[in-house]
Amino acid sequence: MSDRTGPASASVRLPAHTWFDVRRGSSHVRTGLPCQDAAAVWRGRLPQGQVTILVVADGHGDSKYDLSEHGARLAVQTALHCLRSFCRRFNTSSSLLYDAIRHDFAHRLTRQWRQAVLRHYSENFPQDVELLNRPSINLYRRYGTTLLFSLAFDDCLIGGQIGDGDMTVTHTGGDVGRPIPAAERLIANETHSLISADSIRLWRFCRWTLHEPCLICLSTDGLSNGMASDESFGDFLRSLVRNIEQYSFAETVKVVPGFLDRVSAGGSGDDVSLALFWQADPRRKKKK
Amino acid sequence: MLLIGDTVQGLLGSRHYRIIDRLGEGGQGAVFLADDGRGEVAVKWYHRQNAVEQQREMIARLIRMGPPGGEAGRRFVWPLDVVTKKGDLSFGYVMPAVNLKSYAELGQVWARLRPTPGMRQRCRISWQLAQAYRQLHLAGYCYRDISMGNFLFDPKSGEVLIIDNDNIGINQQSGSRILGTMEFMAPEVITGRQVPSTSTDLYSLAVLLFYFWIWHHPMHGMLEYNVRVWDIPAKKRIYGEMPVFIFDPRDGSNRLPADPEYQTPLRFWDACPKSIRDLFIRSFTDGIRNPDRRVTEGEWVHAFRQLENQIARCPHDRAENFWQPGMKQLQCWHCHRRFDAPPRFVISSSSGLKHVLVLPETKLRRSELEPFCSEESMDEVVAEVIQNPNNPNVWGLRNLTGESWQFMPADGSEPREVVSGRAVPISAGHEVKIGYQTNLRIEV
Ligand SMILES: [Zn+2]
Repeated sequence: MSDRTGPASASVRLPAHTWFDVRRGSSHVRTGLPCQDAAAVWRGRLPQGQVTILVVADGHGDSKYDLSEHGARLAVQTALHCLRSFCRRFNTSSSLLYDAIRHDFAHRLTRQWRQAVLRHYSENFPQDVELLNRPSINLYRRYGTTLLFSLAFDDCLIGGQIGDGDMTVTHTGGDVGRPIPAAERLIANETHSLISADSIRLWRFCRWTLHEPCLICLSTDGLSNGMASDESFGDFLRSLVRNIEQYSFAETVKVVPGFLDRVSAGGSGDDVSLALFWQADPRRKKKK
Repeated sequence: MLLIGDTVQGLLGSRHYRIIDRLGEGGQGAVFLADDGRGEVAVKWYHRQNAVEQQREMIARLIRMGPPGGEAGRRFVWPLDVVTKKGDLSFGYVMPAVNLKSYAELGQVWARLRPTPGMRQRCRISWQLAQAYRQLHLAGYCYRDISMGNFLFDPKSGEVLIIDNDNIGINQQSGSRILGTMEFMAPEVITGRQVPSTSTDLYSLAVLLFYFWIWHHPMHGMLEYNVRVWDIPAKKRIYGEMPVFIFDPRDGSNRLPADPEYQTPLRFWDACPKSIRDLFIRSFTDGIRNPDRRVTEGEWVHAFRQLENQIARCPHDRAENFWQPGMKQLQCWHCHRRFDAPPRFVISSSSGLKHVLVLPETKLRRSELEPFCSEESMDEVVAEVIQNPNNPNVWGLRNLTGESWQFMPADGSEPREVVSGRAVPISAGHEVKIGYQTNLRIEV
């Protein structure tokens, strides 16, 4: 079982067939900005069986959002905590779990994230009594972040998203599914995040049945924006799957960090996070 | 599981359906676009755990019995065929394909993926929804699983579709399977005292309409806010065992918390017309424990059809505001400024009094003048407001009924005949006799 946030490194062993990394963007390195992305993978036994949770978050990149690196990290931690507790409490069927997530996850998570933000702020700025006594949107805004998660067990994938980022399911045949349609259909080019007004209604959720070996992939928009086109993003995902099949998951992910750095350097300069789960056999039901 | 390119076999008429695309997935199964050789249809394919024999029998029965009749019956996207695939234990059913480009789910509107319907469209969507359930219930069915996920609407035209009709049962007869999401269930279903019926459908319909207007669950107030462990027993308590309406006028124990995430419902409640607020209050106070007090589909239809004609735009910011009988002025819910109410047509007929605001775009439909007209002719335009091209300040109501009206001027002078195609001037106190039963008076 592994549960941590921040960049993966060789010294930490991740559970089988999962991997994540958070790469500081080339422009962040150049200008001395911190990495404002966060990601995590959790895999363990819950009432549903072996459950894998992937989470990525992209802290806003303007000086108005000067604490967004913490906002993203806290969002990832809170989401993991919240999702695991939903799995434990709504465990009689996958439909029940999906309903609970659809109806209740967003406002439960938002509230817990705000509490975590407040705790963080009071620990780091204890002198700012006025703001701490009357926390306002101005405080939370400094921690602004997107959030994207997927939760998988057996052949069931449940996902959710607020703001930019990509969730894809790539099959061995090369076809790339998008459980949550790309955000380009958003009205008026808005960007949504945990600090948007009425944020709990801006979430999008999905349920998706996995029916053959596939790669579930979550990434912040630094990755897709750094690619020349949707097609090259798809090519990248397909090449991952091909390599996993041909060599192994462990061999494949070794070369990914270098690739992500090149994407950032050659493209947006933005931070890039990627979380992967190779579901080798979604049809195998765990024996109770 | 179905894949794109697969072919499934129909049980009726041994038709084949080729799977073209995947449209989406819900709690019970995934929906695909398919080709049956003559055109596009949709196929819902059950998750294995939901593919039970009882479900298959129910769908076969729904196909045999057919959808409810009338205009409203067409809003149900009804099953057409049961399908299976060789070597697959699951099964599915075929239904007409829906144009998902024009129809939206409420969640898509919330997430700003689709435009928010205007007030007029909201009224239309609401009465169409209620009318559809009325027709379903008249046909002896109950829906059992009314929720946000199976209600689609066109935010522009206000048209409504109801999908996922595979859970429809025969009222008082169908098996006791408890279906649906707890958020929408009647308290007596949650506590296990009753099985779903038309009466519990009425409760679910009220919850769905509340979600549609207020964007919130009627019981999500302090009692829900203070629950630390949100689990099945907690949901049962909030929705089933001790439900308290957040806007209950007598019981303030479940008011909205002063959390910014809970302010949207308050704003929408304030913008919601009193007639609708009253129906919600009845639904979620008396109607919780006493099913006989629940708001019927007919009451919803009547209330929303009325409101459709009572929307005035604020002259300062164009915000849509509801006028209610007796109001001389309105206060804009958006900018809080006051403005004069537009003139009204006060229509009295055998079904009572009706008020329609006089606006440049106002049209009177047959149902407004003849309450007992047939369902097909209900929406036919039989009169329209016109402006004199030479003097735009002079307005008239043009007769499009095909029959003459009798016009009685406000000054008491001789009544005059207004043949079809001609107009009556719009001015305070003028009256028009339409047919034998209907009288229209202009109020300013
Ligand atoms: Zn206004």
